[in-house]
Amino acid sequence: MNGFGARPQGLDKAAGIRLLHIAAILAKERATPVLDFVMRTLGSAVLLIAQFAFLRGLDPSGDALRYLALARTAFAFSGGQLLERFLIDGYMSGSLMMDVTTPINPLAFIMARSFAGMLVSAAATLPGVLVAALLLGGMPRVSLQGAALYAVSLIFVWMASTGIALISSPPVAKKSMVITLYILSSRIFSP
Amino acid sequence: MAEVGWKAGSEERAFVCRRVHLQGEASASGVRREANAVTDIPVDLVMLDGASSSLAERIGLEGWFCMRKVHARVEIDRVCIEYESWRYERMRKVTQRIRALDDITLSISPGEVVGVRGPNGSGKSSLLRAMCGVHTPVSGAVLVFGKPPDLFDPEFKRRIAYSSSRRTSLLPDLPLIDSFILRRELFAMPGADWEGRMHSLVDRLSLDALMDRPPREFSQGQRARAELAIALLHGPSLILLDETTETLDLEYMPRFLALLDELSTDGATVCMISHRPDDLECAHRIVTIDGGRVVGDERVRGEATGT
Repeated sequence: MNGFGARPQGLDKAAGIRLLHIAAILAKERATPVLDFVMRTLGSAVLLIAQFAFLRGLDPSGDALRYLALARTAFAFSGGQLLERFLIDGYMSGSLMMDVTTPINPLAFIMARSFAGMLVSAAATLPGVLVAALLLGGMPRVSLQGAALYAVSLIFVWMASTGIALISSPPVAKKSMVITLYILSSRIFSP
Repeated sequence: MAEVGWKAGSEERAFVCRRVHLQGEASASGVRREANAVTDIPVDLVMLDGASSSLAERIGLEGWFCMRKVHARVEIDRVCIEYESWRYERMRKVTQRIRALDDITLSISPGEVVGVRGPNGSGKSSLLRAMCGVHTPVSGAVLVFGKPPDLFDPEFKRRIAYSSSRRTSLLPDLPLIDSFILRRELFAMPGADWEGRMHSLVDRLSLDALMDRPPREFSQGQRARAELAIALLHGPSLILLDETTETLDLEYMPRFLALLDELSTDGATVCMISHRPDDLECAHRIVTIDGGRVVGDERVRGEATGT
C-alpha cells in the first residue's frame, strides 16, 4: 500500500546518502565555531604532550606511551565527551524529542549524530596523539593485521559507547531506541 | 490517458490537484508512479477532468493528478496521562505518580484552529504531546487521522508538526539555511517542493536577512520566527504549537496569524498553546485547561472552513 499507514521503508541507497548528508551537517555544527574547534585541538595536543612526557619519565622503554596512544585514539573514536554532551544537551534542549517526531528512523538519526560526534572528537584528538607520539617516541608498532583488528575494534568502541550512552540516557532517547527496535524487528520478521 | 475512477473521500480527506510533467507511460499506474517520484504525498488515484485532459492532449505529456491529502481530525476520549516523579527523602528515593491529564475529552475538526490556555502545570503541553504520540495515555484513547498517534509510523510523523518554545529544531551554530537543509533531509522532501515552501515561508516571516546568520545570534523574536518556519516547512496537516508564538515580536504576529488562517482554510488543523490572548486571535475555539481537566471550551469564531 502506498500512503498513510505504510510500513517504514528500508534503508536504500538514497536514504543512506541522506543519512551521510545529515551526519555531515551535524559534524559541521560540532566543528563550529572553527576557532573554538582549533583551540580545542591545540589544547588537547598540549595536554597530550605533557601527559606523554610525564609517562616517558616513568617508563623510559616507551611501551606505556604506545599503549596510551592506542587507548587515547580509542577514546577519541568513542566520541569522547562530545557524545555524552549531545545526549545531555539533547535532553536539556529537547532536541531529542524533535528527533522522535521526525519521520527518519530515530536510531539512524542518533547514530548519525553519534557518528558526527565521533568524527569531530577524533579530528580534535588525533593530531595531538600523533604529534605527542612522534615527539616522544610513542608510535605504536603493530603489524598490518594488528592495525586492521584495531580499526575494527574502534568501530565496536564507537557502537558500544553509543549504546551505553543511550541506555543511560533520558526516557525520550530510550523511546527512540524502542521505536527503532520495533521497526527493525518488523522489517526482519515481515514476509 | 487512462480513466481512473473517482471515489468520494471521507471528511478526513481532501483531494488536491497539482500539475506535473509526466514523462512515463500514459497509464494509470505510470501516472501514479510519476506522481510518486515528484512528491512525498501519497497518490492514491489519478483524475483527469475535462479541462486537464484537453490540456494534456494539447501539450502532450502533461497532466493533472490528484493527491490524497489527509486532514487531521483529533479525537480525545476520556484520556488520562500520568508521569512518574521522584525525590529524595532521608537519602531514599521516593517515587510518586503525577496525573497530568485527568479524564479529558476533546474533539477537534479538520481545519480548526484551537487555542489552549491555562495556568502553568495545568497539562497543556501534555495534551499536545499526547496528540503527537510522545505520551501514551494510561486510560482513554487519542485518535489522530482516525488512528492512535503512532511514532512508529513515518507517514504519521510526516503529517504532524510539533514546535515548542522550550525545544529547538535549529542548529544553533550554523547559518539558518543549514537548519532548513537538515529539515529537508529529515523529511526527505523533494528539492523543488522544499525550495518553494522555504522561499514562501522565508518571505512571509521576513527571514531573508537571517538566512546566513547562526540562530545563536538571534533575538528571541527572530528565533521564534525561524522555529515556526522550520515547523511548517514540510506542509503538515496537524500543527501543534507549544508556546512557540509567545516570543514572537508583536509586529510579526498579524502576519503569522494570517499564515495560520490560510493553512487552516487549506485544511490544516492547528492546536496552539499561548498565554498571550492576542496570539489566539485566529482561533475558532479556545479551550481552557486547569488541573489536567477541560474547564472551558468556547467558540470564538465561526466554523472551520477546512472541514
